[in-house]
Amino acid sequence: MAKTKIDKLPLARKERPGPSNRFGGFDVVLFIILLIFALLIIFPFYYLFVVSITPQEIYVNNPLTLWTPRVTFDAYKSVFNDSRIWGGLKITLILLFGGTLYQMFFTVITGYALSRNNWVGKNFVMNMILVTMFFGGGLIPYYILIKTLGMINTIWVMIIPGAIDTFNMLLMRNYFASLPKELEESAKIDGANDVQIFVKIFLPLSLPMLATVGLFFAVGNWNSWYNGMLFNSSQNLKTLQQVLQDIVYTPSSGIPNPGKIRIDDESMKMAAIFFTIIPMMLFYPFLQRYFVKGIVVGAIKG
Amino acid sequence: MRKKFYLLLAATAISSISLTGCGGEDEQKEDAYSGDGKLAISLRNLYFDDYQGGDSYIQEIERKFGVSLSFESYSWSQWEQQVSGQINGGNLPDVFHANIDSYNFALTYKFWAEEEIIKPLPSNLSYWPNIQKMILNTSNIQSLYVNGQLYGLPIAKSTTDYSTTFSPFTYIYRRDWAKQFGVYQENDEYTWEQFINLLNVFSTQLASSNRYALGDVEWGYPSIINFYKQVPHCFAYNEVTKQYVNNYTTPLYLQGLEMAKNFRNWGFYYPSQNSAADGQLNKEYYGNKIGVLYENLSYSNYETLKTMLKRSNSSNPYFNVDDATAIMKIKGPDGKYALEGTDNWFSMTFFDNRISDTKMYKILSILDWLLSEEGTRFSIYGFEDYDYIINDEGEIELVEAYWPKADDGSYAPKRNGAKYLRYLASLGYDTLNYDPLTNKESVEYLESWENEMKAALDRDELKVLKERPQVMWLTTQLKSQLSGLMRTTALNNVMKYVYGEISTLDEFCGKFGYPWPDVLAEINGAIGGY
Repeated sequence: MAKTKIDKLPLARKERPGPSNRFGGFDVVLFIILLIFALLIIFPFYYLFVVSITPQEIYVNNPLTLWTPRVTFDAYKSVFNDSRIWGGLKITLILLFGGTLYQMFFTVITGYALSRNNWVGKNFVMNMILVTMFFGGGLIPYYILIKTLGMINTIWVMIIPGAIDTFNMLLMRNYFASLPKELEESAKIDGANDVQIFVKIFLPLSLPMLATVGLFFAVGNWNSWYNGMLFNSSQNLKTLQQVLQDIVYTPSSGIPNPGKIRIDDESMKMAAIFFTIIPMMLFYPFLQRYFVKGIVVGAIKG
Repeated sequence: MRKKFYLLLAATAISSISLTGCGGEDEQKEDAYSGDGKLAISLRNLYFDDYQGGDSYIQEIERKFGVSLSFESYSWSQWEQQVSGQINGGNLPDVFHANIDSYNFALTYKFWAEEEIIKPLPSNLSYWPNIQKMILNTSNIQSLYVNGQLYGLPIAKSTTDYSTTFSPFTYIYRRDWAKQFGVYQENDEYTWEQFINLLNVFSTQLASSNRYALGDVEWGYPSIINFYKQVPHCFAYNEVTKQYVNNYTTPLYLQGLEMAKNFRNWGFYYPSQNSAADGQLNKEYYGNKIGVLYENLSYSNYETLKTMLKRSNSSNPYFNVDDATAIMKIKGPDGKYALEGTDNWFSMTFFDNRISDTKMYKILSILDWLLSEEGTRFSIYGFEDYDYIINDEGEIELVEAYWPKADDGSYAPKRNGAKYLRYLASLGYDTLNYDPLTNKESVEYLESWENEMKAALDRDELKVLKERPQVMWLTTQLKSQLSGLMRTTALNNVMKYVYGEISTLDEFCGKFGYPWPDVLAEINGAIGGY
């Protein structure tokens, strides 16, 4: 039986590193700088987590620590047992899904309409929308408007007024405008109407920008608190961020004692913060590639 | 042409939107009734926390008075913006609350009254004797009358003791460390020299472990000047010239400022004191990093500090928090204690001007009952023969089934809506003593300190720093507009001097140009000379 002389087989030719993929001294320096930069960004999150699992007596005696000698998840238990957190989460999730869809709908269709050249008064509408980027009516008129619309103390006040975000609408408009006009023309020749052209041709081609704008809205809704703070006084309508503020902010000076004094450890505060940021942190990386692409593409054509 | 058209259009749109806010909303609110015919009353308060009503105690009050109450709370960090939004938007609840501790509240209060945003109390309060008594005992009450009417209910700190004229802003320290380092003084009483010696020993002994002798709560720095200055804030009164003067440039203040700088240079103060975040110094104290802390030692703050200190030292079986920490009684260079003066109230309950008299009377009746003995007992203990019984000796006995105890033997938290409602009239310092949910040792300890200070006041051994009510409540234009900013700028310069950014006292005094002379001239023109 003929033996295969493995050692005699010709070795695969080693690919010689060319000038473009050589890992040189400059790359090492760059790597170190970026590593430090990454650590600077990651460390606060890491520290937040470490404090959240550190018992109070250890934390206060040694607040600057890289790891805890004793791990406890008591703070997370307290957070999960706090009905305020779940109430806030419910409202925030409604805003996140309902609000984002609603905002996307209006922002995208407005952006699309303003990217088309075939209707009278487009520039007028465009300029009127642009004005809102630079001037506002003021807080009090806004308050009165919201009150007149009967939205005080309702969840709608946190959703309806934000239907169109001008900046995001401009991103969408520019993106739609950057797509070849021939697509629309050929679709029309094939018998498609405007809605079909929008839904079946332009939307599928705009996924990067939709993801970008969607992410903007989602993050905005997740972090939403201002309208809730100003217009809603009911505990049941507090967003997660408002609840977080209640937990983290400890009033001082002469407050009365309605029940037993509630004293939250630092770990409880950190656990609450961690709980509120983790969903966005998990969500973000999956959309990031669209996010960067979308921003760049939308910025090219004005 | 087109650009001009758009500009004009935008300007018109903005103006019309902005002018929306100018319409008055003076109409009366119509009384609304719940399905079962009860008068609906909306309440919003800073102290309601996350309480929303609906418990059996509130239901009992609703039944008794034929009302339906809705509770909403302000946010601790944004209540001013929320109140302002509701006022300007014409969306006030029937009853709302505001803290009057803001330095410049006088003009706002007067504006609310004159613009008929808030409703005056009835001039004859004899129908509500407990409220009447409370108002009669309110210190400085004349300042709250606008055109002869009182536009709200000053919330009493205590309805049984109206005599407190000073705040518990003072020093708490590590008595165990003082004993350990041999500088402890009996009964926690220190002369000025003993205090400086203690700080000196603390800073020497603690330096090697990155701990520090002294820290001030962020708003109180540099507290040490309290032992020198005449008034807490901007406007001191010169008894000789009968004129108001800049407090920050009086010889006494400058002496205190020099001492504050010395304290820093001697290494007594926590090093990042000038840039400390909110609550940081408290954390450092209960984290065993600071030997002496200046803080508002109200019951809740004191109890919080003690509890956290106990938690921080839970691994030490020999740690006894009551031995380890105590209030320090320090006499200044003049041989006197020094505390900030206060009125016996610092917040008010207001009524929307648009509510009906019927509704206002109803609210006053509820509050009057809650201030009575029966109402107070109900708000603290609950239902008689259910939450508690009165035994044969006439004493109150809590029913265990409804007052369960925690593992440490203290009563478990129990909510009683009547207690929240009572906060519209009193902060309830008077009930701390017999409230099952408070730590009696802490209450008694704070009371004994207060009594000692009252006795010192009687012996003229306590200096109470207080601005004269005439200037505090003055509502002249410049003073109202600028005094908040003046105070902030002055404190900035104080920091700069203590930290060496301003090198001489002359340079420090030179920082008080415009608007100080103008504001002082305005004040002296209005109220100087007496």
